[in-house]
Amino acid sequence: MAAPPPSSPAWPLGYLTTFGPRADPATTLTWGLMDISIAVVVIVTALVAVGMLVKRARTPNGDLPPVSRGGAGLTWIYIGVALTVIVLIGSMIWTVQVLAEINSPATKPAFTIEITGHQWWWEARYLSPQPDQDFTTANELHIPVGQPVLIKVMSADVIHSFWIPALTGKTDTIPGRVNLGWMQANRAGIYRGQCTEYCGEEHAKMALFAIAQPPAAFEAWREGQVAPAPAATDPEAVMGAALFNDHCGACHTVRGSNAGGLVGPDLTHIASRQTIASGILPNTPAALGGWISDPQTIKPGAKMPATNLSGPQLNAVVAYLGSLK
Amino acid sequence: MIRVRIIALAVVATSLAAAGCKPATGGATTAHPPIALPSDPTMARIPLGAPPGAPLALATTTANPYEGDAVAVSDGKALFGAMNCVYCHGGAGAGLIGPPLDAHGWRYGGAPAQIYNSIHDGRPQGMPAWGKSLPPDQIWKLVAYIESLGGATAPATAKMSDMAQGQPSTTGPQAADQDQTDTAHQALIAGNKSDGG
Repeated sequence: MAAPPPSSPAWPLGYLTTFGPRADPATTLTWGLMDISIAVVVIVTALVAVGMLVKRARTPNGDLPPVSRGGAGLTWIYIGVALTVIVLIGSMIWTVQVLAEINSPATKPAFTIEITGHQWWWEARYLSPQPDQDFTTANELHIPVGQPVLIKVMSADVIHSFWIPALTGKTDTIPGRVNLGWMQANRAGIYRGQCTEYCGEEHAKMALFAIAQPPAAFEAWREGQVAPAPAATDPEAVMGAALFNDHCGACHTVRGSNAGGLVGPDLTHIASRQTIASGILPNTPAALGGWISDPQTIKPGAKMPATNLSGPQLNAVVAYLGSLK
Repeated sequence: MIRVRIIALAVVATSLAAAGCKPATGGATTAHPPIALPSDPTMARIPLGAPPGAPLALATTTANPYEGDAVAVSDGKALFGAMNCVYCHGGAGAGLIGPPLDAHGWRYGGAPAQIYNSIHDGRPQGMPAWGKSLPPDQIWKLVAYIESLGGATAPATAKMSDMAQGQPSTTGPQAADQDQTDTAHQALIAGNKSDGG
């Protein structure tokens, strides 16, 4: 388990190595049960091979003697059944122990994140004891290293499933229900997650990231996210802000501006995210421009329409979004 | 003296003409004198639907204040483009990401008052609520435009059975002529359809 944690969004979804106390016991259990299963296959195969290869001694005139049953046969049945029962009961106890261990964190969770699955993106609302410190972001969760975080998993439309395999198991998002889970990262890293319950045509393009940071860096991020968007200063971004308000504000929120739509992701600090469109494109001006100009080619069926912005208008909107740090 | 009088007359006539023209050349939604609109509490009581065959009492008695008003229809058409409706509902409401508005089969009711509420409050699965960004008279003008597309249920006869089968709107397809922006939108939509397969 000495593998380094993933350090970039480009790392593939990995579930064979884990980096937190919710996922680690399950991974150990998985490897342990696999080792036991392999041992069983090897032992049974060896015994069958011995049975096939060891031949009865022939009689002096070359014939095979008739099969005779000795008294010891039943003993081997007893030994086999006893071994199997012991191993199975042991595996069951180990499994139940792991389930109990990962059911709840050892210490009180630092805070709660409400995660809502949408077709096809993830909304994340960070809750705080002070309501004015709550904020909403999308597709990118930041968590402090070494602290458990409670997650409330919900759905806005159909059944999705929240899964960041390096940190936590799968939790379905059921419409009308709140499912509880938790996660904790022991090492800083960028852990990829994915919707893992088929939820419609863009199910495969519904990724998210959990970015584990040292607590100080996390706190700085949180304070940045709580703040409203900075006012645009660059002339191009000012023009982009007006265009965004006219063309995008009915569906997207940018806190601190007139754009207050609730249909799409909150874009208040989109420039601070590493990816766009639910983890399918890097957050570069080129990718952003391509996504805004033609979302239906990149993600057919998504609720975002193509707007007929001119080239300079598109550049202005991209400049504005790039200023939303 | 005659010359002076003629010049004075011309000045007066020009200014009068300019005043007379003002409503016609003003902004897209300024052409109307104030008009009585249904109250908010009335609109809030309008049901989304009713049992089959039963009349939708309030939905059908609440008529569009701009019923049959060609200027409101053209204002609504301008708003349909300006407020980005066209990107989801398609040019002339033909449907794209959002459902078509020129055919029957309304999920949330096709009577004018129900269309008003769908615009004002938004609907699940993507329709934003426009009540905060559009004043009621402009929403009614949008409803007038949508009625002109021919898919809305005529208010006097609206029943659930009509919603299924359809009654052409009394306002008729006045806005069938395409202006340039509409043609551009159509081209955009045609492009998207062929791209998306």
